[in-house]
Amino acid sequence: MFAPNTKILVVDDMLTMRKLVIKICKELGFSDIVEASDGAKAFELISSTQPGFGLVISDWNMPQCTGLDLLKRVRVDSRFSQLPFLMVTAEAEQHQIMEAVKAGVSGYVIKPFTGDQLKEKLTGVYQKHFAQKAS
Amino acid sequence: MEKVLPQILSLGVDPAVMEFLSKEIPTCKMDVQPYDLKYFEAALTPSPVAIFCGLPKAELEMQVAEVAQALRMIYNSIPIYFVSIERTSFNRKQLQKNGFTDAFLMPSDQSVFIETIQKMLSALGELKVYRSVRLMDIPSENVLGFDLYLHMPANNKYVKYASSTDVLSEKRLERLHSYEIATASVSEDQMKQFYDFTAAQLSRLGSSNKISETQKKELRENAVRDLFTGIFGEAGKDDTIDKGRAVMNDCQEVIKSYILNESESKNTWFDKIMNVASAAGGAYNHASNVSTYAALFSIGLGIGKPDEIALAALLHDIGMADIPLEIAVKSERERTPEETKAYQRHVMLSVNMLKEKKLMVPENVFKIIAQHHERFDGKGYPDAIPGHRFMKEAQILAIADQFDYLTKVQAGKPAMMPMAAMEEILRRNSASKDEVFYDPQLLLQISNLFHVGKKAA
Repeated sequence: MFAPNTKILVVDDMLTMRKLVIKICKELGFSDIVEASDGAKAFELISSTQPGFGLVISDWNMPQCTGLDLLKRVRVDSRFSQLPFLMVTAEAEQHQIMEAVKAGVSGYVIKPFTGDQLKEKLTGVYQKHFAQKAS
Repeated sequence: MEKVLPQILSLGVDPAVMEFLSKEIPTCKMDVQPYDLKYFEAALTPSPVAIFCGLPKAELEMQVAEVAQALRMIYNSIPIYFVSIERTSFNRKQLQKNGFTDAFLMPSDQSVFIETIQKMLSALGELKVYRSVRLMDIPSENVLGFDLYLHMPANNKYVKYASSTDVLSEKRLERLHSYEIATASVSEDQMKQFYDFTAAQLSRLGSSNKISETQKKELRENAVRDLFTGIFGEAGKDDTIDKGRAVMNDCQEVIKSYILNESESKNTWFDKIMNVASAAGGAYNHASNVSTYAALFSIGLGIGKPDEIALAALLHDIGMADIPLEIAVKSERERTPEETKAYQRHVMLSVNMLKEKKLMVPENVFKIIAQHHERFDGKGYPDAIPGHRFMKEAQILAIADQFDYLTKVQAGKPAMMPMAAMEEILRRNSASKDEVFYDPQLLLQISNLFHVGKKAA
């Protein structure tokens, strides 16, 4: 699982949802959490923050730059091709998830979710990115 | 010490709905609030036992789906209900997927909503709820397994009549019958035992039904509720011929599986009527009950096409969804003349809704629905046309409607035994030459079906 000191970026245009995701992350033991209210700001943060983020949790459905747009921008940049990226989607967007998989998403979680569900998803994302290297 | 009432948080629910609720569930403390972002930050302490949500206004800048998702993430384990009077944006399945425990569209869902809340409060041990059951479902030779109560209308109290370990003797049952008591009550928390008891009874009687009457009732109710919300919801957006065809298929499926299926079973005509009449009342039973009765009357008399009559009966009251809640919940006597007029519009609203939804129903079905409140003496509505000028099928539907009303087990009104109900309809229809509701000839024929059936049984 991700270490508690992992720097996390939470991206959502909805303030309430951002706060909730941050709250759940804190309950899971993370404390270094940064937030962004749209995809463009998020990309700016991702490219300029040092040391870099260890995990991005982004909403899919945002105006202008969607979660998918952000993911694509992140993946074409060779610095971030391996950055763990968890997509948050609503039930209605579930069928689009294949697109995100093609674009290189690390995992996805459907709203509404509990702390336990997020933890499970994060464990999956972690294994995908780091378990093979560790073994 | 004063009892602390359970608190329900109500966010942005329509005032008419809140007024209705405050009358129906007085055992709760309602914390009625407009939507505010502060409710989406953290759980209130102490936590409410449930949350009711209305349609959020634009200034909240949150869609209803986001409200559901956020609240569900804050409150994992309490019921969160969506309740709205706005049918155009209503999609029950979608609302549930986003996190609501259930979604209710008023006024159509008023009984099922109240029932749901009562069950919830009963499960919390906050409310003793009683359900009416029919004494004819309780044979005298078996141990009950549930406590049986009698309702005393004078002081609105429930008195225990028999304990769960009792066998109700033939003599005691007869005594109740002699007082013309046809129903007793079982507390909500023991309804499962009651249903198990009746299911065991059915299988002992060698009933051909593979599933219990209770399960069948639930399946049927859910199918009808889904069907109706499918018709009500999301007006305009996708009212295409295809959607109309899909809804029509659903209607036919419901009729095939739950209504004509009943009439095609091996049971006698009379047993089929009794089977439907003996199921404990549920919120969406009215449409399917009336549909079954009307189809059976049609089959018994050889008048009209049973599937057309069943379809008309199933859909006859859907226009009620567009009647304002405050008018829909009143009894006939409480309504002002203007409200009565508004209420009577439900007939044309039903027809209009079907047309607007492009449901490809036979022209006869529209006519039967449009005429189901017309009276033989020409004093009905909406057109006040005399009996010889409207369809016999509409009369069959009207009689089935009345028969279900009289026999239905429902809080606040006595339920009649099927035979007694038929007698009552006959009596009222012939009491005065100035008040003839139904075609006397047709009514007599239907009543004869009951008498012949009863003798054979």
